[in-house]
Amino acid sequence: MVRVSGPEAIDVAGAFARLRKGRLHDLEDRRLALARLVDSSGNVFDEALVVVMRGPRSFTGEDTVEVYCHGGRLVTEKALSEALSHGARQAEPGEFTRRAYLSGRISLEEAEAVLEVVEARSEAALFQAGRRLCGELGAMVRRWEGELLDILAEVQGAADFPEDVPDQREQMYGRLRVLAGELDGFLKRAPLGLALSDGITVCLVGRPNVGKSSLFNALLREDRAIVTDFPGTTRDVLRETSEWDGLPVTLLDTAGLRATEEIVEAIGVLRAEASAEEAEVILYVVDDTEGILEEDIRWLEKWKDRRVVLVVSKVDLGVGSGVRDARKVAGPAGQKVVKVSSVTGDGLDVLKRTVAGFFESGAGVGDIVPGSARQVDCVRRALDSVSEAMSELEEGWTDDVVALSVERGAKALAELTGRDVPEAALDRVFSRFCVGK
Amino acid sequence: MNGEIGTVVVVGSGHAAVEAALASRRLGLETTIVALNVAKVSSMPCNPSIGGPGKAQIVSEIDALGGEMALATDHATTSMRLLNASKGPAVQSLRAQVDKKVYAAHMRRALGEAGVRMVQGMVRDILVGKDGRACGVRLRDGRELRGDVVVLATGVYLESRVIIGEKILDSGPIGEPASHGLSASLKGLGVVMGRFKTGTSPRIKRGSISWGELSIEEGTDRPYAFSFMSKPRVWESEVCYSTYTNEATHKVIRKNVHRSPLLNGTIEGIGPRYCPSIEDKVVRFPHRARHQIYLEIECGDSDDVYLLGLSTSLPEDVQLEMVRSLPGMARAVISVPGYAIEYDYVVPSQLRPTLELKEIPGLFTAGQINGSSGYEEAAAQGLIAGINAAMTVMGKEPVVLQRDEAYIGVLIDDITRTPIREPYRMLTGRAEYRLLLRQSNADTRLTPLGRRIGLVSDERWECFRIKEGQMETARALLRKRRGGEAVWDLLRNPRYSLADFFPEIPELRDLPSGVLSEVEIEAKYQGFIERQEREARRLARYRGKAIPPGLDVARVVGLSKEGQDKLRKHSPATLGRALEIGLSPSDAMILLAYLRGGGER
Repeated sequence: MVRVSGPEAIDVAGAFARLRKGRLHDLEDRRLALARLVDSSGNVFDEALVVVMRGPRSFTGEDTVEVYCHGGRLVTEKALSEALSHGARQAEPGEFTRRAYLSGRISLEEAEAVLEVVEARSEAALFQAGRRLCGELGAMVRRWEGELLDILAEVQGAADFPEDVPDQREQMYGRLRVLAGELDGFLKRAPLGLALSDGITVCLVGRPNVGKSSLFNALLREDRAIVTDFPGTTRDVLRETSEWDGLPVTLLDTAGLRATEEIVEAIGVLRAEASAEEAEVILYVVDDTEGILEEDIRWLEKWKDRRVVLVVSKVDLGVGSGVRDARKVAGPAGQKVVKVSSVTGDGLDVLKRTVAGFFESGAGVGDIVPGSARQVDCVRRALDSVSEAMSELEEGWTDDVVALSVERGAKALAELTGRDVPEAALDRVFSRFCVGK
Repeated sequence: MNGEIGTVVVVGSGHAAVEAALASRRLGLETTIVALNVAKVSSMPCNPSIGGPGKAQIVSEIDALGGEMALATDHATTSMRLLNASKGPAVQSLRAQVDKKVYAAHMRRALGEAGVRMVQGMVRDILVGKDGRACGVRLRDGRELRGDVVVLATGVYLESRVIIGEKILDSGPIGEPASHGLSASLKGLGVVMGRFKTGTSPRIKRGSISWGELSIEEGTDRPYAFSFMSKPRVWESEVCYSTYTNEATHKVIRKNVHRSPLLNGTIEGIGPRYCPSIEDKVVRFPHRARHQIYLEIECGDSDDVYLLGLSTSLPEDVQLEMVRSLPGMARAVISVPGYAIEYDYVVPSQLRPTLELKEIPGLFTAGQINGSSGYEEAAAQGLIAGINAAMTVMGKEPVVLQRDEAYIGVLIDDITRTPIREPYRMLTGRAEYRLLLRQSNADTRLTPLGRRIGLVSDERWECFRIKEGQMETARALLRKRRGGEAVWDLLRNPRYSLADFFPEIPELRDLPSGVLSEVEIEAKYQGFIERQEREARRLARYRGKAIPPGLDVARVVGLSKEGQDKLRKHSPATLGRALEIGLSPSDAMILLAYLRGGGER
């Protein structure tokens, strides 16, 4: 989906999304309509649904147009680039949310809690949720959810209609175990799936002048960053996107980590640290001619639980201090060490494969992999609840608490499918059992 | 008494109307019931049974708030059972068979003692003043009854018609007249109406049944009661018999399906899935060889037996053939045939959680008129409507129960906020916080609120405080360490029960069994209960966020015009109240952001 927000949103979207009849400006508020998406040469590249939400009755409070493409990254990206070519600016991460939530005065969590109070069971909220899921992943999540709803219908149905619905506690454990296995298998493949769909952020950090920016350029094969011999040149965080082994990668170059009194540089150091904190992978760069200093060890210690590659740069100079130290330091921490030269290009491919390797655990060809962190989170919570239900059965707890765990699991998946769990379970009770007097 | 405080007009005399009238009268308002037939109070046109999963919890909640239903039930019970005894405290629910004449007599007496005035007549119009508020009703004969507020609890009577096979009667349940005109009056005021359908089973003359061929349903030998104020009793239970339909019964049905108004399209209203007709069951589950039928004797001195499970709207001749195919009923005589009834209801999304219509202040609706079903669901709404009618007149804060406080809260939240597709019946599965909302702790949850409202008598309040003291004593005894782990912690193992520890803590034997069983649940389920409490608290924090009384709405940047108007008009005290008066989610967020930031942007 491409969302355009702002005073000229309708002009911008109208330039590439053409309705069958009439102008986008005349489209009724909040009414879905079919549109052709047309590029600058006049070629139709997709048919999409569009909706216009005029401010202040929109998520951001401004005029907003949403374009739902037929799927496929390519088409969505094409629509995005059309929007950009007609005067839109790409939103920063969370910008829509930030605008909506008044410049960060209210946290997303708070906003969600309020929404939960107001809208938890409203049709609009369910519609929103339902849109998030489609394709094969959707089919799989729906099947798991269906199994949980069936189990819930049996155990809750037996409580609500004790004369009509038989007690089926005996079979419940086996069914939950099969389901837990499937959910678990899915989650094992999660790192790759997330990386594939959202891309990963890789952050270069290290002391000043160890060769981060040279490496940044070498990895991107272009002169994007300013490179000098004067330490501390990179003051802001530079960011470029690339693709390594089929993985979309956002590579960040940061200011050298060191204590400084110069205010601009100090801010750069803070940003470097923050970028490393948020990145999926940290490339910690040390200079082969200098070796690993105490400062380096402190930083490596701080990030010991993260995905860190210890990169030894400038190996073409043949000094070898960094390589020697790296063996001592990285060995115990289990960090991967890669030797590179930005001058000769040696080791760059190894580095890229090492990074991609973090995300490859156990994905077979053709397996469905999860699409976003949110989906993974929902499945993980569903698995937790299923496991809880299994232990409750093993420990001999009463049906009511087992049912609550099963219900929690179904609700976690329902966040993706947008179903009203109690109502859906009830539907199953009525369709499967002859209930009622 | 204090007639000058204000007056309430309650239309109807069923379960909702009676609780509404008793509540408003007991809170000091002059209260009048207007009904088609004032001789009929709290009647039970469906089966003579109160409680069951979800419903039993409601009855006990009504009791804790100071309503009458539980007392009447205990008074009229002929047998009582605890359902789901082994399935855990969240779903354990009492169900009583009652003598419906005794039940009605109890209610009639309660109305009389409270001083509720009774007027017979058919209400045709709602009177609305120039200020847009409801101010009374006009009867068909032209009489007018003025009231500060009006509560409509007309059940299934609005434009109702009864259908038995090819026969369509312009009437209410069992020979009562339908109520004409009121539905049109509501539509004229802009109220959106829907149409539902429900059904009943045939009633058989008691003497025409050969009882020896039927099996007896066992009651229980443990003492039970619905009301906190009733002494639990062991009930005689030789009053419920059961049997099954057979292939002959199903053959009769299949042969005559084309004459069923439900299946041939005569009936347009939407019926409840949890209460299907026998013809529906036979058609939808063709492989089932038999369906269970319960025989419920309507009351001690009555001649009627209700065939629970045989709800039907087939023609009378088919009903007779069907009934006579059942064991023991070869010579059965039908006294009242089963029938379907269609009726208008107020689409309840038009209501506030106080049960007042959003667009017509002063007009409350309660019970089946709101699309619900069941005596218990009706009574609960009646109680809340009656309380809030009184609160409105007295200018006090309304009473709104939340989903984590009571099944009554779940009920009203569900019907006012989600579209209902069929007559709404309570089930434990609808309450996500059901482990907190036990029937067994309804008194603990709601008696303090009932006391604040003013419906809990001194006597009940005193008993309640004694019980709370005993609960504290029991908790302390269990928490005390004797050597190893405290019994409280040991109880978390599902294999132990409190009775196992009587030898170690003999003082426990001095406490009432109700206190012990409740404390045992608290200890045993502590982990699960706390989890639900945490979840409930998280949401309550936002609901409870206070809005300062002098808030200058214009200074809240970004609020919609509509939101500003609503806040100015109602000055809600909390964010939760603001949501109840219909503040939009985005406005609520903007308001919350403003309140957090403590000033303008």
